Amino acid sequence: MRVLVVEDEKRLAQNVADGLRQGAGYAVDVAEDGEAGLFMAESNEYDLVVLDLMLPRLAGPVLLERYRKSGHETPVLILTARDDKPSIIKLLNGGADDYLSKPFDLGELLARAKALVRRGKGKPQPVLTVGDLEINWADRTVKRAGKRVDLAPMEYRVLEYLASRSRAVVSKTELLEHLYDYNWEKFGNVIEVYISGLRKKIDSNSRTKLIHTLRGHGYALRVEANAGLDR
Amino acid sequence: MNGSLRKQIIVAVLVSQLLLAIGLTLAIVLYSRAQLLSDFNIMLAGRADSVLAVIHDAEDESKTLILDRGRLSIPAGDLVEVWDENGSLIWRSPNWTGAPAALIAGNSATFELDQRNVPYRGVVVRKATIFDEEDNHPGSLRKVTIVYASSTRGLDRHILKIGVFATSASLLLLCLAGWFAAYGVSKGLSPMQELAKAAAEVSVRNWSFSPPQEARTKSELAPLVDALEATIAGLQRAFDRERESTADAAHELKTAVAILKSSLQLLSYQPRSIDGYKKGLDHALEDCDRLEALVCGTLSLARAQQWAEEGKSDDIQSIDLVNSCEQSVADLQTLAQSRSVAMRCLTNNGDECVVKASPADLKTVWVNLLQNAIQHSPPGSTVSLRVSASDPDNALIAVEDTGAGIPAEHLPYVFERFRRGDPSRSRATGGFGLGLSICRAIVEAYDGRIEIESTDGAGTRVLVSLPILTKVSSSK
Repeated sequence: MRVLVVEDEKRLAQNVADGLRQGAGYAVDVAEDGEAGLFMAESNEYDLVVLDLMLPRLAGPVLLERYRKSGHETPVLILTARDDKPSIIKLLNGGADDYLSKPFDLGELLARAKALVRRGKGKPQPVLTVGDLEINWADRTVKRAGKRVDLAPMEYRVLEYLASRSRAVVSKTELLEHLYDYNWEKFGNVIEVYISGLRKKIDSNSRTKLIHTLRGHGYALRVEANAGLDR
Repeated sequence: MNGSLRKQIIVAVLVSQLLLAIGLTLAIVLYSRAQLLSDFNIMLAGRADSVLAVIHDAEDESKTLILDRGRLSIPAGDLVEVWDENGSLIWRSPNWTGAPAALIAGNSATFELDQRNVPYRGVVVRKATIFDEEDNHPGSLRKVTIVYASSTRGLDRHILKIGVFATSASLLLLCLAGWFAAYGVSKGLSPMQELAKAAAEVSVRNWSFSPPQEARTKSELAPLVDALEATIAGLQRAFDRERESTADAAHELKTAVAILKSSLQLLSYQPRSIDGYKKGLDHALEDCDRLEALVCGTLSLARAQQWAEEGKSDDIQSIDLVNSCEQSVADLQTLAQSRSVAMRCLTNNGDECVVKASPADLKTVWVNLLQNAIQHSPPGSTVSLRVSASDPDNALIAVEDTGAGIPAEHLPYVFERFRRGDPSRSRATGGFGLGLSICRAIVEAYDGRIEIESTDGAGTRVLVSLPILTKVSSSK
């Protein structure tokens, strides 16, 4: 998952970004003013936008309005120092999905961020199941047939994204878009390495294969009616 | 409340009307009395004439005059005396003991007397001529003096009646007038009450002041309405400004606390190496320093503003401005060098300007202004501070930089709290936007003025003028 943090207070942006990276395993981009924030939000695929309200160059509510107007459905979490009800109501009616008033609890921020991402993907359940595979979003653990599977952080992120789009075919480009932040050079073969790692850990000890490669299209995490066809 | 404008006006109206009524009643009574007395006198004269008509010579040749009682017809209570020329009494009505001799000897035409406790008014007709036309030849012309008096009891009763009538009519009219006055005054004052009601409805939650249209058209109330409107609008502006800056302060403080809190939470999120913890603690300490700086800035602004309202700090001295500015320039030399900015301190014509102020306050102003100038100067440029006596009463301190300048649309707001030359504030320079607000509050506390001039892209100049205590012009 990839998150955009738009916050002009550098230290706060850094802490939120670090929290999201360490606590939720998300790729995080930071924009320090409203204009940059809107540009980045519109030119990249994000799974969540964390937006401060008082921003230089372009105020948060204006950014939100333009972002929604251009048709983006990515959940937006607002960070605000104003917690009076009318301004919150205005924000939520203006297209925001949730808000946190400053000073906030980092744990709460992470929990809300995860919940918003889940909901944004249409998966409100905290534990996703694909066949006998269980993925717990809250504590980032994976079980196959009730047995814990230890994954490397990057492998977990690939699996989590595939699970969030389960049954759909996810292209390599989409995976790269959603798993790496702006500063990474994106190499497609990196994904292949993680996929093969995942296969080894999840599918090798089981009869039903869950991770499927559709050549030229991408990957899918699902229970196939006629298993093994893709191999 | 023990005073009512309405009551006061009504009482004043009633008192004036009462005076009017009393005066009018008195005038009526006095005029009627005079009129009645003159009528009475004419009547008395007429009756005296009728007495005269029945006086004639005696039948004998004694040449005495006699009064023919049989032909005399006068009211029974009247008093009559008739004297001949020689002073002998011709006739006197039986109910009288006689008029005082002085009355007949004197020359007054009318008199008043009491006879058995009855007031009488009378006339003295002197030298009345008797025409005796007996035997159809004119007799000798004989003169008599007639004293005729009649009771004025009826007259007094009449006057009393007129008085009673006038008084009761006045009182009735007074009551009517009083009622009209009360009604008129109440009605006349109702716009005032409505105005008071409208003014009472204004509160912190509801600033809309809608004075009754009637009050606006009354010449006495219109100035009050205008004054109220201006005051309420001013209050609202001040209140909104205060609320906004409180919200700004809250935003800054909450953000600073949010940073510190998130730093600490992040640190405890997962186990770290000793170095990791050390780094995290250093970060948290930095955040703490920031928070501290913000709190200090907010407090010194509040303090400076309080001085401006209630008087200045205790440590007031005579300070040489040139000296004070030079010290601040020296203090900031390190900062300037670190940003490769040069600083110059210039004095005009060797002017020596001495002001009365607290040294710490002045230093705060210079340091803030210089810091701003240095932070907004490109490397290699020069920040200059010029001290001069602009006129015999004021010293002018100009701090000038050749930085990016401030866009004209933001210029009016730079002295407001938490402003950073951008409506949504840029944190690039790391300040809180309190510096200029503090400067202004301090300068204004010393009855000075602070202004800012800026050309977008060409630099900024801040001008501070302070009243001089003494100026020793050393012309070289």
